[in-house]
Amino acid sequence: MLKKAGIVLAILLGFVVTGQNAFAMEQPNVEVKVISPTQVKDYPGKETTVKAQITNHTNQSIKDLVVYITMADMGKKWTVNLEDYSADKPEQVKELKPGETKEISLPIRFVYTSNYYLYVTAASTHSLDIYSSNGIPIDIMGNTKINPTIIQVVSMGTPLIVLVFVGLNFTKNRRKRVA
Amino acid sequence: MSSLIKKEIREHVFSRKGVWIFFAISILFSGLTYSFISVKELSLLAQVEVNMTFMKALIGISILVSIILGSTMVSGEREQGTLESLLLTPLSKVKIILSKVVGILVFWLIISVISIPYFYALTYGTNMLLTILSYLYLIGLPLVISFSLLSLAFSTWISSSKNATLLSIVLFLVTAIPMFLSTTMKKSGFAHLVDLLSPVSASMLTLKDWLVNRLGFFFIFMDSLPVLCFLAISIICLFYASKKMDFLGGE
Repeated sequence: MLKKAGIVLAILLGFVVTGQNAFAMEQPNVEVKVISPTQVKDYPGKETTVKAQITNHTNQSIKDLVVYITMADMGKKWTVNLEDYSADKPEQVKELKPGETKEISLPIRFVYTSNYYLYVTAASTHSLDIYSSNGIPIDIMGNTKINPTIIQVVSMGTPLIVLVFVGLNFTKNRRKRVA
Repeated sequence: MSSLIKKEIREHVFSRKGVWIFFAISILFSGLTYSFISVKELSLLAQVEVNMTFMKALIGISILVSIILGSTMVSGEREQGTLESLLLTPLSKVKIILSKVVGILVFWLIISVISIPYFYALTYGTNMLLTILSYLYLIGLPLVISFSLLSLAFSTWISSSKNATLLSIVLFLVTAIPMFLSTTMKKSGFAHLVDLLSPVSASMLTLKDWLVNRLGFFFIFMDSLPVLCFLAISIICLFYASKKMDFLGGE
């Protein structure tokens, strides 16, 4: 009986311990959360401001936090050069007190057509831990109706037309000089 | 005055140098346009971005060509010794300068006409062509003319064509600095100040707000305010410079 009770107690203790661990894993020291937008589906050129919330769950202040946008191009399986998207400037949080939450606004302009995951990352100069939010899906749709044939015709035709005018002008000036 | 305008157009627009410049510009436009379908990175751009890139190139080239033209107009006449004969005509100094401005204007109008087929090809399938042309003539024209007027003023103040050209190009490069800087650099220090005041930056912001963000007239007008102020300053500078237009050794 006592043995059985011991086993049950051990199992219960096991649940409590693993549960706490799982809770600890779900609750990171710094939590980063994207508030808005929840998703973007638009054409290239779209400008938006990503609003993120950053919370310090520890009982110590975290100093010199750098918060920035990160994007992964899931369509092309590429990394993204954020300078192209005018999103290379991070926001700085000088101090995040215990339990404090701060809201950060990060502007971005979507340039290229693809599917992305956008997430916000926070890093402190005093720790090597990096904290990232969950990703939000970004779908930048292609809307180009450029006709390659027209481009080729115009690219070759226009200089030729200008060249004809150059020739005509040259002939006219020459005739004048001769006269 | 009309005969003087005709002379300016003949000398600068329909001269051998002038028509070859038009041909070179058309080749440049063709190369850029063709790269939008042949270069992988550029082919990924949306149609509106493609048109914005082409417009930026067009405005940049137009400004460069017109300031080079403007900065050699008066000082060139002075160097060749033809300014005296111009000043001895019954025309006022302002009218002489105005005829030169018309010469530059015609030159730019021809460049803008050359660009129309390219814009047609790049806006194909959309209703952007009218907006693009409106922007070109409402914002691009004042911007190009402002730089031309200032270079003409420099050409009048400074007796050397080379120095006038150099000064005009430096002015253009300073105002165009924000275009070459990253977002981070543009948000602080001297670059931020230049970005705020630069007519080139303002014209690019207007282009973005008009084409991409599709903002209303009020916002577009506010965006383009530095361009209009720059035009007003250029007109005032040229007006005062025209009074300084003198013979080499003074009258």
